[in-house]
Amino acid sequence: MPRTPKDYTSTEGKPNWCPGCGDFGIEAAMKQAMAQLDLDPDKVMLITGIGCGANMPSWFSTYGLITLHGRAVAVATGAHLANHELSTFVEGGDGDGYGIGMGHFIHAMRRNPNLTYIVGNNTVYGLTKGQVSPTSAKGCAGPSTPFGNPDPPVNPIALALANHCSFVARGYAGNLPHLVNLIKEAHNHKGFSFIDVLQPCVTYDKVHGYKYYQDLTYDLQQSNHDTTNQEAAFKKAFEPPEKYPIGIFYKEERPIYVEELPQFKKGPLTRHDISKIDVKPLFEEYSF
Amino acid sequence: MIGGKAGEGIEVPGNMFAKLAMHAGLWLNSTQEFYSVIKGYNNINQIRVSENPVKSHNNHYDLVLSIDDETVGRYIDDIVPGGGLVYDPSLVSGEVKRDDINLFPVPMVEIAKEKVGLGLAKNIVGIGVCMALLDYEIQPLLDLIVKTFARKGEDIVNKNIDAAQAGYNYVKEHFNREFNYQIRPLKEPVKKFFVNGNQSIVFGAIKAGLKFVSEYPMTPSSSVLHSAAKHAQQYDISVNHVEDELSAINMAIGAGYAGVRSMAATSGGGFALMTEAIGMAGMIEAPVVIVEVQRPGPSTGLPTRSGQGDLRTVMHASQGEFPRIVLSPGSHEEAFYMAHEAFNLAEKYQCPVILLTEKYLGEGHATLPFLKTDHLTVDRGKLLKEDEITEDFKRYKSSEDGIPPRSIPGQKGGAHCATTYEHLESGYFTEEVEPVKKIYARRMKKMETIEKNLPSVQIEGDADAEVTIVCWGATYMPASEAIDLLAKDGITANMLHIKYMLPLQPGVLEALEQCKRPILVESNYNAQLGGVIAEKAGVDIQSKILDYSGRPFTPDQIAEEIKKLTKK
Ligand SMILES: Cc1ncc(C[n+]2csc(CCOP(=O)(O)OP(=O)(O)O)c2C)c(N)n1
Ligand code: SF4
Repeated sequence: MPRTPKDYTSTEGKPNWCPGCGDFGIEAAMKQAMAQLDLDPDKVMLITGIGCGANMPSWFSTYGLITLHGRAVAVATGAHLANHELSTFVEGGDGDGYGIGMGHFIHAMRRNPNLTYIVGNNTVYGLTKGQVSPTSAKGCAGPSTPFGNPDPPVNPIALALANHCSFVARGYAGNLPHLVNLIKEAHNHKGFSFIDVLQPCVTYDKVHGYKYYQDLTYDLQQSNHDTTNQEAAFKKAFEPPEKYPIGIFYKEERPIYVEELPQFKKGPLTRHDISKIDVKPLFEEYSF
Repeated sequence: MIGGKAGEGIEVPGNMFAKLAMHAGLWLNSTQEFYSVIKGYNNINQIRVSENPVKSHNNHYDLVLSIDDETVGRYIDDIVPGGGLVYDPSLVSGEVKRDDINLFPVPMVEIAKEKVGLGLAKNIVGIGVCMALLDYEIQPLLDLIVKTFARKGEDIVNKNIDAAQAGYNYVKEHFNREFNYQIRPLKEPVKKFFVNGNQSIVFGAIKAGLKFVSEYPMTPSSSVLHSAAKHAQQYDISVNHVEDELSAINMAIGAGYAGVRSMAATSGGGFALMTEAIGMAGMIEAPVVIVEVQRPGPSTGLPTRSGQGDLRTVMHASQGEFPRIVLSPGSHEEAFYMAHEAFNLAEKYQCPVILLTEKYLGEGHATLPFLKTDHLTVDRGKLLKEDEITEDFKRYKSSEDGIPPRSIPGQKGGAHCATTYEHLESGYFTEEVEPVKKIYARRMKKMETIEKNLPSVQIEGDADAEVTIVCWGATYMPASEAIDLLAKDGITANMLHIKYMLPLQPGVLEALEQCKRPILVESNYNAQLGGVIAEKAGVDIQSKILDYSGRPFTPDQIAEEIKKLTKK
């Protein structure tokens, strides 16, 4: 029997997002992608930060871990290195990933662990009631910026391209089939794969709604984009807000962390026998 | 003692001397005092050698090798009568004068320039001088030079051999043996190894099955990272120098959650950054071991010095209440065993375990006998095997002892959502009054279980002693020698050394009731252990010896202070 999204759905409770929230799209896309990839729910880790979107694992039947605001990537890196045979998905908001967690994001891209990192980019802090986020446009008003956001936004795609990210993509929570495919590709990519997902927050961002993105997004893979050309990818990264290219910007095969180190050759660290470790060679080494 | 400017290499001759002493079968303890600069300031390496195990350092020197100017002026008065001072007249500006010690002027720079073509090799000349003065054969030194410099090529090896030999010969040619010290090899020495406390911790951790380390360098904890990295491939450990302490602790918790024994190490400043995540480990009940090697604060404080000012910090760090364990070893040997124990405790009680030590132990070296490890076992607590996971498995299920069953990712049937939000037994979040109260109490119950299972504190030494030294951490080392010194002056003293700080180990009140005169000895201002004892055991110890200078206690300092306090 082929797996279905239901196989990845927790029997306890239902998502508590505002009706119409883009997080429903991300949730559905992730479950569909997992089903189509035929992943065993017991072999999946879904590790998130804190935020509306980051509540995701509550409604999954896989192993889930809701960490701290901004720390999902770091926690997931540790969990992944402990057991690199599992499929590890990381999810969080733009505040989580590009604000408080920015440091981990940048260094994870350098390190290239085999993780799939999905950021629900709704250009606001949803859970704390609508303040501007690192991706909010300059001038945009919110409770913390009543006279307009003084700062220009972070460009996550360009940032990833400039920091050795081996899989750089953008999805849109309102285009399910496209996002499902993207997540599958990201999962199958060996290394750190990053998907910035345009995610309408229907409650706190009245500008970036479904209609807005419907009109402005277009599929990169339908427009002759060369995913091995970093320069072309950079150009595309600077298109918004006139247009929002979605799809894979850039992809590169790079050795991944666990393949480069002999420690991992004997299988996941969780399976190493630790019952009879002999430290006498250490004593010998420090003797004279 | 060896003194020189930072950057001029006092570490190499110091370690060589230590290894040669070990070669002779002797025991030793060595500690370095250095400034937080890479080049220029005066640093010293204090090495104590004996036929019997050496408990601590002290600040009186039998032989000083000065390879700069400053060492002479700063430390000449600390040389014991009859002791010796080796110095290079070309480096020393002031007058070198003391009638009751032996002065050995040696043109070390000149010899180094001549033999190696580099004045900096004066340290190797100096070590040759010392071995000659101590009447020890030169061959082991030459062997050690080969071992130390082999990587740098034959030429360097030969030049250093010439330098050491020239220093050795200079003594034989210029000084009659008027110096009354000698390194005599022991007949049947115990087999020993030479490590600092941080290395000892890493070895204990490796024995416990350490698989994951993440750290951001911070003095004096960096050698935890360095030595774990050095042995990473030998023992299949993932060792990661990461972007900051936030990452270090969060990665380590991720690894612990996913089922391997993981550790993060840091000092006070880095620990402050780890604070929030430690609460996460408490909340999701993930095992993790954090090594905190104290240096004196506040803030950047004294980066390269020692202190015990972080006890309250590690006990209380992170918001809310959750179970955690704080241990503090007293010696290099205990560091090994407690590190091992920390991993068992972390998995048994599914909580963060903090191994609190200080620069004095962490970076101080000692020789240890080859440690017994046969009795050490790995206890993974209630971590279920796949076939033990039942249909109704609940990760955060209530239990008598407060410890829930545990599954790790990948195990069939064990999937659940772990979350830092308050949650139900299943892991699913909740804010409802009854379930919140229930799971909160269940978690905290673990603290009682832990306390019940900790070994009771023991008074060490003469049960009828007039004075009891109450201390923790590496103050143990000088304190235990202070007891011997006091005995010589007719004062009987024993010791109450507390090893489990949180929960406070059982039996403290009972032990204190047996003591005639407890005296707290701590390297901080507020007598933090004293406060904990007052709070938990209900005894407010009045006599205190506190030092927050950033320098570790010496045995004679403790003995002197105790004499002052006990004088009627
Ligand atoms: C250390 C810390 N600081 C602040 C918060 C409060 N906080 C929770 S979620 C959030 C921002 C959420 O925005 P985002 O990450 O974009 O996710 P969204 O809710 O929009 O999905 C903040 C500031 C916190 N939980 N932890
Ligand atoms: S506040 Fe915005 S992001 Fe959060 S659930 Fe509501 S719509 Fe979604």
